[in-house]
Amino acid sequence: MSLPDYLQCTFSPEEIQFIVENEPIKIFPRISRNRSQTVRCTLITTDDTSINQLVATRSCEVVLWLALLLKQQRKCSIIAPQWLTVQSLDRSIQFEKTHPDRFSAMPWNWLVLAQLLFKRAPDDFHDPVHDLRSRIQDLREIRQLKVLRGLRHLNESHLQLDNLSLLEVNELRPFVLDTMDKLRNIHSVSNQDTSQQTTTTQQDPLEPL
Amino acid sequence: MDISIDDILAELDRDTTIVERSDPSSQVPLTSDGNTTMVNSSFDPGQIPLRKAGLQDDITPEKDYTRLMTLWRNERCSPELLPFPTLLMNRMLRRVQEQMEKIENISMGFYEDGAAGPSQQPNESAFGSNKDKLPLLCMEAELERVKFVIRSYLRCRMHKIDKYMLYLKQLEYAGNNAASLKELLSEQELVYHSRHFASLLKLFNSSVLRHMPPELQAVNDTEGSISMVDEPEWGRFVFLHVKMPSERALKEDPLLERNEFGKPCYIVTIQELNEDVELTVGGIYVMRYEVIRDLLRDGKVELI
Repeated sequence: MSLPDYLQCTFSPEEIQFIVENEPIKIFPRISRNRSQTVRCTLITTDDTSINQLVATRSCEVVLWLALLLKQQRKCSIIAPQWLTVQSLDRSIQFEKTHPDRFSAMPWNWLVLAQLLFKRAPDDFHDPVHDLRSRIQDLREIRQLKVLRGLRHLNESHLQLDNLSLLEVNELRPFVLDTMDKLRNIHSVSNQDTSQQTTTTQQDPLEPL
Repeated sequence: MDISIDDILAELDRDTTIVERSDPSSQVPLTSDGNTTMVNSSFDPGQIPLRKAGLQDDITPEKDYTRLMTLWRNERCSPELLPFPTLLMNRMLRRVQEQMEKIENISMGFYEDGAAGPSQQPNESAFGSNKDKLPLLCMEAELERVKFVIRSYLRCRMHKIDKYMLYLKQLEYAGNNAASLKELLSEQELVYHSRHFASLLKLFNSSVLRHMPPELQAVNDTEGSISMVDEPEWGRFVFLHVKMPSERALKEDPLLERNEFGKPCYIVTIQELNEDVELTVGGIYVMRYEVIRDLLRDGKVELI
């Protein structure tokens, strides 16, 4: 009642984006601000010195939601992270192809961050956006395929999924958790059965006597 | 969680001196409950250097917010109700309140700082006044974000309080565990829980139970094949991320061990399967909740 059903088993994509937006990112301000000119901006969730001491063309680090806000006001450009270039994405794709049983070490928020930047700051990339977009899509499909192939290894004990990003975890969550819970139940019930059987078989030889 | 009262008092003192030294009256209500602290806060520019001085301390607004985010995500993913962070929530709510007043002050045009003067002068250029809106925009956006997390967190807790109502009620009656329920729920949640329980019981009694034979009237019957008390599903699987421990913990934590690759890891045992599992630092795992419950309480892993 207080929490809708669809939010009980997993996070919504919007909430995932919300979580990602708290991460820092580098920006390239187009305006300068200093204390004598303007109203101070005091923030209660993040360090506010960088936003109050913006100097045009000197790059600095702010949280992503703030960067997107400034970008929307055309007050800055966002500097895309190192991994979000055609070159390094190609390298990641190569890695994914050569290691069929492992995931490449992408940042935990790569998918959301890439999509956000493509949508909100498409003019800030050095590489053409459609190239980047198609590579991100490739990467996502390769990884998704691996995940789907790995589903057959689901068991009742545990699972290790290193380097899987938050969004990927989130979309897997309902299926994986339910399946593993079912497997666990089946396992515990079958365990009880076998233990009961062994006790009865132990008793059986006594009966003829 | 075993915290002595001295620790709590020390934290309270530190907390008030960091943020609200300008307002001595706030120290009195802080010891009673979180609601009254929100009313008394007037913005004073002198607070800013004070708060900056508090940065060396463990309590900063940034860290509090990160902690709240982690708590929110843990609460959403875990099958049981986790302890309520009373002090953290007090600080968060107080900051929200202060921030709201500050925004009000700025948008009304009276800001204590002389620097805001230009925005009130009629001859100010359109560019300048437009520029002054930027901090306000940021502050409002941020406020909405904080409010969202707090709301979602509380709603999630409320859902669990409803779901495990009988189980929590039993915790209360289980003698020495009475303190643990107070730790688990906030004061408002305690009131909500007991009132909700009372009215639901009344409804059950008047509509169904009084027509039943007396031996079937209990709502907390655990004798039959299925227990009527919904317990959290302890064995439910959760996704977890093993956090990077601090330098000191790396050396001193007795739970940390090295696996064959020399990486630090925690070793946990799945009782039912008699299986030991290494949880490598930085890794993502799907595990039974009961297995990692203690690690979660100690903040060594987080649920994702």
